[in-house]
Amino acid sequence: MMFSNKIMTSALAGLLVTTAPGLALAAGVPTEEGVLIATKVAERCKDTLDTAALAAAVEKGTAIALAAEEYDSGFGDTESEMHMTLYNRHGESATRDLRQRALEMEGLDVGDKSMVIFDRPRDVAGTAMLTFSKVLEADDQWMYMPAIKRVKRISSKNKSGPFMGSEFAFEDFSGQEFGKYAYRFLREEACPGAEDLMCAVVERYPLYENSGYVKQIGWSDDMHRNYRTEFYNRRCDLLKILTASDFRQYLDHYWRAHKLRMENQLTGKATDLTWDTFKFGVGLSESDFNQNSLKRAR
Amino acid sequence: MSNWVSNYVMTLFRFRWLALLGVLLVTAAAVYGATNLQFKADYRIFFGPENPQLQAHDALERKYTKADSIIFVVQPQEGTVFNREVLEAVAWLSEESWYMPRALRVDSLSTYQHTRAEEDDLTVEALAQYPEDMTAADIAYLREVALSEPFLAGKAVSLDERTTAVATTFQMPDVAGDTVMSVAKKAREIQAEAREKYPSLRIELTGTLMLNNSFSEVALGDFTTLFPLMLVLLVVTVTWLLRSAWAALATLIVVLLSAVVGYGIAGWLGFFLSAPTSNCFVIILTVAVADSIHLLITFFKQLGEGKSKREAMAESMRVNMQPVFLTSFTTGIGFFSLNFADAPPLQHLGNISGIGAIAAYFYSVVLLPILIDFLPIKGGNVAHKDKIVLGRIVEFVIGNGRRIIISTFVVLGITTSFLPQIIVNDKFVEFFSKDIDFRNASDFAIENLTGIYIVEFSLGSGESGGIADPSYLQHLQDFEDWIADYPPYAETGGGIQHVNSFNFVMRRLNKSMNGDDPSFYRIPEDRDLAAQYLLLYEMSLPEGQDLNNQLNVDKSSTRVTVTLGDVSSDYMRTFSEAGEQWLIDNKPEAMVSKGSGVPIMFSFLTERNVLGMIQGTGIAFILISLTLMLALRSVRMGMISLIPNFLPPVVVFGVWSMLYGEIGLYAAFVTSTALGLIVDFTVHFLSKYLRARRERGLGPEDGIRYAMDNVGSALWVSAAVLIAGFAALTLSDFLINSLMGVLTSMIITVALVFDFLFLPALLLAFDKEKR
Repeated sequence: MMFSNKIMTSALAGLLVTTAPGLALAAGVPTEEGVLIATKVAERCKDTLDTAALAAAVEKGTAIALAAEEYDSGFGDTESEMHMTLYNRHGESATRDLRQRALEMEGLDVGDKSMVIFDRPRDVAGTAMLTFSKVLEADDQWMYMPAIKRVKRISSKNKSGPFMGSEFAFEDFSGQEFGKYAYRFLREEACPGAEDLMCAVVERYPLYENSGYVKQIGWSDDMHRNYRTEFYNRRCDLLKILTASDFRQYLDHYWRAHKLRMENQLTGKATDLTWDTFKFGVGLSESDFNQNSLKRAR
Repeated sequence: MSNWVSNYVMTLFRFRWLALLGVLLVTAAAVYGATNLQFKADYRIFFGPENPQLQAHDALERKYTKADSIIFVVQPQEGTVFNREVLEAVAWLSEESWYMPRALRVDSLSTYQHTRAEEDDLTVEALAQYPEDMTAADIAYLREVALSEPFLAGKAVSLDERTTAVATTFQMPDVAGDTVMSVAKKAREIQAEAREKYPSLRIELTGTLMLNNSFSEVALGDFTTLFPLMLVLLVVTVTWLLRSAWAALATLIVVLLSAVVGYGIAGWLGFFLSAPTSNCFVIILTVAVADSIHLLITFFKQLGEGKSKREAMAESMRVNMQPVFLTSFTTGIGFFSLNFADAPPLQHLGNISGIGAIAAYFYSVVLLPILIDFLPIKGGNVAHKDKIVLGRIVEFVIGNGRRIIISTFVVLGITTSFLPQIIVNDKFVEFFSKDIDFRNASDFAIENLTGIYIVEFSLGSGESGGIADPSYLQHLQDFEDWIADYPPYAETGGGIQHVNSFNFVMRRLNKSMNGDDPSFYRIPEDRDLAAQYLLLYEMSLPEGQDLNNQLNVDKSSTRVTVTLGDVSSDYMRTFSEAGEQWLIDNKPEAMVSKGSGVPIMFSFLTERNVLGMIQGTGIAFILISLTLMLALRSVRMGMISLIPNFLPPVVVFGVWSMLYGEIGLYAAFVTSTALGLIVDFTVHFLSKYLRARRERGLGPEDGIRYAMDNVGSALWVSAAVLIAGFAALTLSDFLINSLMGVLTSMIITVALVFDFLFLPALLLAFDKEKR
């Protein structure tokens, strides 16, 4: 599970599939297929579509996503601490504390590996979840439960439900691979929340059939910082809006938002995700991301 | 004596254009308010903001998710639901349901997330999402799971395996507007398509959103059928009565304007439209016509005696100004007393109708004379054939006064003896006639599987995350056991149909996490374990299947949902109170919860409104009595006049309990509104009687003869119009309106009999000694 705030730098562009130099994973979804997908979604959602410019829009959207993907590649590994605060629309709230470790993987069809360790609430402290992200199929996931000292594999195709009761769905975190979507450039406009900057607005279509969304729309600036993402559910209604803020740059290159807010437009509930620390290059390796390490992850 | 009236009428005729313009301007200004009116299709409107049951219900919905629902109920012609065709229909309906606007979750055999252990894997998957791929063995497995899983058995599938349901939960916006109608419309489309696709299946549609939608359906239906019917009735009656189509036209204009002004001012006052208020049109038309009739009958009488139109009108106004004012005023009091009701739509009904009645007075004394002046009216010919019958009645009363009084009290005794048996029925499904789809579908659902009579308890653990604590889960299980043992409703054998508790999830998870060993189908033994199982489980659920509808945001409390079958509203209420009491007696304070939910709100509806309306009716009664004493300038006459007005509602409720044995919301307000109407008969009769006694020095017997001769026809004619008008409401598909119509027309009928028989007998008995 990629609990990464990459979602901001690349909510529109998958970051996580490695860009081995020279390898044009670049391809992504071929333009003709992108056109087809965009047309289908537009039909279903009754969106207006400039058919004449569609191929160009798909190409441009894909290019932007790919650029973001390439920009963020090479981060290696990260470790971060965060709080998740859940609100219902009447102001009741609950907090969860988590840590996350992520490892960038080499190879075209290999997704990143990540681990989430739960610290609070106390009754789940020490529970840890390991995710091997996949591009077009269900991610591999395991969870270690300290109460029984056992690792269980989570076998579920459809993870569009809420993550820890929050407004984030599992796939909102894990679904950042460039190859998971087809893209279409919509327009340029001032960035939401940073009006002095210009953002590219790109629509993207999940390719995974069990995705909970029909499309997403993202706003990202030329530093590939993603300020806002709109999630449209399968009936084409705007279900959730993700807003990112407090961007900080690491290693003079990688931008990470330190605050994410996901607002459910249907229920009025919201979830805040804030990062306390963010470390790059902590020296994690693949041996830190297997079932044995899961048991030791405290 | 009414010199000012003559002056007024002359001035009115002189400045008739100016007056007309004034009337038009005032009318336009009032009617413009109607643009503010919005129809509210929501059961919530029946409950004022202070209503404790509404507050409990809202608090629960705030804590969890909202619970507006649409339920498809599916039954094959024969055999079980565990066959491919039914399952395909269920899968199709589940998928389509998900596409309804604002759907939050869909529960059915097809969406149910089954948990299963496979070595060290926890597999969470839907068993019947793709029925076309299911083998006979898969279907048999599904059947086994469905019938043993308490979440499904009795809710998603009936225990006799004959019926299954697809239930969708919605998050409606706070200001629902026309969202309800658009969702309901979509649901109906899905239903129609499903029926076409699966012609051998019976597919019905119920749920609280369909309930809401039915409010607008009945209102629209009433408006499009009752309103035109009432117009025709009115035109025919008035034309026949006055033998003049022009007079009927003038009357029609007066009553129509009264009605639209009633709604217009309602708009200015910030009211909204609802099923009960949709019939104010018919009510205003009915009560407003009396003013014009009284004025026009005298007018034509004068015209027949050779007076000019203006003279005839001036004379009619002189004679009728006071009684017409008085009767409109008392009618208004009757309606305005509805402000004591708890339910806002009843208050609105009272205010709109009351405003209409008052407006009718002003139109009758300002606009009607001008209209009559403009219209090419010739001398009509008012029928007098009834004089003979009325005469006989008078002689009968004079001859049998004592016997009439005695028999009245005998009738009263018999009918009131039935009163104690009456029970209150607040089951909202039965608010709708069997011509409404929602009623039939809901009856079918309740009978075969599940209903929309849902009672919920929110049980707190007292601490964040405390719902995973085994002691909490044990308390929860104790409560489930108590519910399961709750006795059924004796009359129908219906009772608790289904219980859903978070405990089911925990027990099932415990079993799956232990290699599906049935002996582990129990509460996990420690909190960390339960919390971690839950975390794992929650990670595995698809959209629309999460636990947010059962758990609050910090996992400190859960909701227990109880579905009730065919039971009385009293049973619902008793059950909910017993549940709360049991929690108080047996469980920690944090777990104590009021039962809440739509049927609970409704089960208190009549009582709350009756309590308010006892006050309201009392005050109306006192005000009307004072008005009568003042108008008749006699305390004694005022007192006598109360008896024939007080008794008819009592007799009618007695007869009602004898015939039907149950009452509902309508019972709360018919007494006061009917009182405002029937008192008019007494006013007219007594004022003529007193005139005979005081001005002409006649004795009681001759006084009665004089009164009957002068107002007898007008009385029964206006009574006939009122009875017909309220009887028309009987055709409404909304029970509150139709039974209000039945009861009111019954009361008016009885009151007319009382005024013709009992009142004169009373006068003979008590007005004898003097003079």
